[in-house]
Amino acid sequence: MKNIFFIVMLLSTQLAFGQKYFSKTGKISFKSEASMEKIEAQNASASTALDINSGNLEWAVLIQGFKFDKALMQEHFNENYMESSTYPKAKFKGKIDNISAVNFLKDGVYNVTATGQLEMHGITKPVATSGVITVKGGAISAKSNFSVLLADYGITIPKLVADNISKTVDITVDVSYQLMPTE
Amino acid sequence: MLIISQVFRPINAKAMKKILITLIVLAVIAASYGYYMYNKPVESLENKEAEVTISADQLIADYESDEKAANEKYLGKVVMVNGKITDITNEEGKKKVNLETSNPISAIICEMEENKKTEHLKAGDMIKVKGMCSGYLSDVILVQSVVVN
Repeated sequence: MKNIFFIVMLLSTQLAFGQKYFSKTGKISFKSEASMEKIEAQNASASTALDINSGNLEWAVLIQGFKFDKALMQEHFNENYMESSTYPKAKFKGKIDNISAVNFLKDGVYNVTATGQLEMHGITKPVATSGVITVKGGAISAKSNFSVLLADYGITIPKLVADNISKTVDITVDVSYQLMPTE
Repeated sequence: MLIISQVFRPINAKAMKKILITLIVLAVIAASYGYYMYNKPVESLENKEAEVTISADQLIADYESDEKAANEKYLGKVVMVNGKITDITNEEGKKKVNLETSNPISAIICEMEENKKTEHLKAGDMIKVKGMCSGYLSDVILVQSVVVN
């Protein structure tokens, strides 16, 4: 009897921890504010996967899926800055460093840090950020905010408008994860 | 000399005034046009002609076999896709219509244009959707989509 109980316990913990979560409706938005120009855009179709056992974390987003209010801004973003027909995606591949700090069986808001490689505009650079993972009634969501320097990714601002455009961009990611179906 | 200047001065002043007014009007027109262009919202695809018409199956097949070549054909273009609705989602007002493909884990995700009604649509319906192809992430994603009757 004791053995059966032990086996059941073992199985249930494995079920709870050996699992991958994903979403195809991850939200990524960015904002850049300078004296003259405020640039903002959103994308609600980012793909992401999180392994709650290892902490492995991946994101991918399509550049041309970012929505702007102003048509001209969207055009400049795609054609002059991100060159999205040549580099259609941005990707992050990394890890949540302190995944063990999150108790996925207990509701709560957990502070985490993530490090990894961010690829955009054809250039890959290391990034580190902090964020929160929220566990609520078995549902997992994650949020983070970080900023990148455009020059790091070879994105150049024409001299003529250099004073009107911020050299850094604030990026916010926000996602509600779903359990990945096992094959 | 005196006579000439007396004759021409009023004409010159008048001409100058005309030129000045014309310049001011032109500057105002240019500035308002610039301001209008700067603030112009992203245009609806409603009245735009589709550049490519394709089935959901063929679109996903093209991306699966060669993503780069498919991007050259479809990325950033207005694409009309025929397919069967698997489901419709509405998360915080962001409506998406998903179309079935021959691959069970890949769909054509159509982000609908804002303020577009989707109530008349249901899973199983065969539809034609026009949208801007933003690329491939195991699904092909169309943005600013509108349903074509």
